[in-house]
Amino acid sequence: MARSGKREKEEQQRFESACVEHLDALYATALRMTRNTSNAEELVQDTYVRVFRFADSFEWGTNLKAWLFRILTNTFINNYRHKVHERRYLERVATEPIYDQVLDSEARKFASDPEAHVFSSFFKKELDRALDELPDDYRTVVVLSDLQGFSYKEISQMMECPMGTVMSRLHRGRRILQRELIDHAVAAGIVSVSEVEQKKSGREPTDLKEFRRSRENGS
Amino acid sequence: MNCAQIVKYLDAYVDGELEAGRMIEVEAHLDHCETCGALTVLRRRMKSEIAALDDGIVAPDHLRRRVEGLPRTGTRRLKVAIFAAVPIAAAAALLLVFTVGPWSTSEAGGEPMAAVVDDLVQRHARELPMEFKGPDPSLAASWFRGKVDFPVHAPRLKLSNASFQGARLSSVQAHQAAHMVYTVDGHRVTLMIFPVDNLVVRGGNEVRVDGKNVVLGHRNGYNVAVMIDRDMAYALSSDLSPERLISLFTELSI
Ligand SMILES: [Zn+2]
Repeated sequence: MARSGKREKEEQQRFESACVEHLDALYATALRMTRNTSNAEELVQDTYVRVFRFADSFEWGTNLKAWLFRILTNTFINNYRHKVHERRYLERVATEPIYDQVLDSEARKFASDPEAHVFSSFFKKELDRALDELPDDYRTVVVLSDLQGFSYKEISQMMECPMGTVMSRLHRGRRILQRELIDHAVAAGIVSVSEVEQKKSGREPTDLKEFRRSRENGS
Repeated sequence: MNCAQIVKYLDAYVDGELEAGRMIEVEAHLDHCETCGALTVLRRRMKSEIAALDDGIVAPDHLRRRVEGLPRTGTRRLKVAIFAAVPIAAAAALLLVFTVGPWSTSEAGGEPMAAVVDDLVQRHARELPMEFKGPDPSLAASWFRGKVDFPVHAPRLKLSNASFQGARLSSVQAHQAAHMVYTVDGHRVTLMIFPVDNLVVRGGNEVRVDGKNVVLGHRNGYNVAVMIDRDMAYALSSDLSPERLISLFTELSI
């Protein structure tokens, strides 16, 4: 066999094992996206089928991890994501301006509260659950940004949407998470009762509870 | 910059995506504003907590083996092979031999069966890409060898109006399954073969076909027929009628 043929084969093997090195990260992300182990496995398998099939389109010297995640995200969006009408509804509810203002002032009060530091010990479990409950598009952006460390530009390529959309989804997603954590701290009694009353009186009841209720009814 | 403006730039600031000029403005504000400073600390903490959430998550071994065993169809130099369905030569359809008993509905085992039907319909509805391409089903059986730990025989085609599209590895209730796709009368039909050792495939509508039990189910407009034979399940999913699916067991000689 010609030398070049041997080199090609080595290059191909190197490429394949480099792809498989990202299996754990792809699986963890697929699990976040689908929230179900058997669908996550299916999604990862589909992703690798495409990865090996479209290996030709990968250019050496570019970011392999970003390329793999682009295929994963694409496969998820096309085959696994929830239906469009549900998504639109959720986006509309979560973008009410009143929701923004309430969140801001609450978060400020909360963040400035010295008692809030106790909160970190509860953080992980609540955050885990809250993240899983985010609408698909918001969750995907948060996972790609915070868990996998991709840039806004990389995420916009993965999701095939403008950078502005990535930023607004990230913004909305994190606000929802922030709000969930504050609600949790209130429920766990970390923030004092008078503080709760104060917050309740300044809040429209049209926010997250409503949002959750409509989501439950809608799905 | 005021507090309301800071909130707009907080994400990009925490993510290190803010351009230099804006960053200086944000930091100037944070230097003298306590609540914005506290909010930034909260956001940073949230980001780093999220970053660590999935530490230690590893792909299960069976998935790793499956991925490592995937065919390298589009190598770094080979063009992607384009699959074209080839019509199968005409062959006489076998005479259908089955008896449709009274549609009995048993309650025991109904729920686990529902989960199996869910999986089957989901796999069928998604039109997943095939790892092994048709049109020759006899090659599919050898393709599965060594990939699954149960016997797979890919049904031969006896119908003039049927073709074999391809095969892939799949799962039913986290159990490995051989997944094959046929086209019959222009309708896509998915055949899943999997061992039933730990699965309850009972309940719902049961009929006897050629002395074997066939369980019928339906979900989201799709019909499912599962035949159990010597601890193996052969499940057909399609938008074809249940009667047509039952007849396929014989016609495809499953
Ligand atoms: Zn401020």
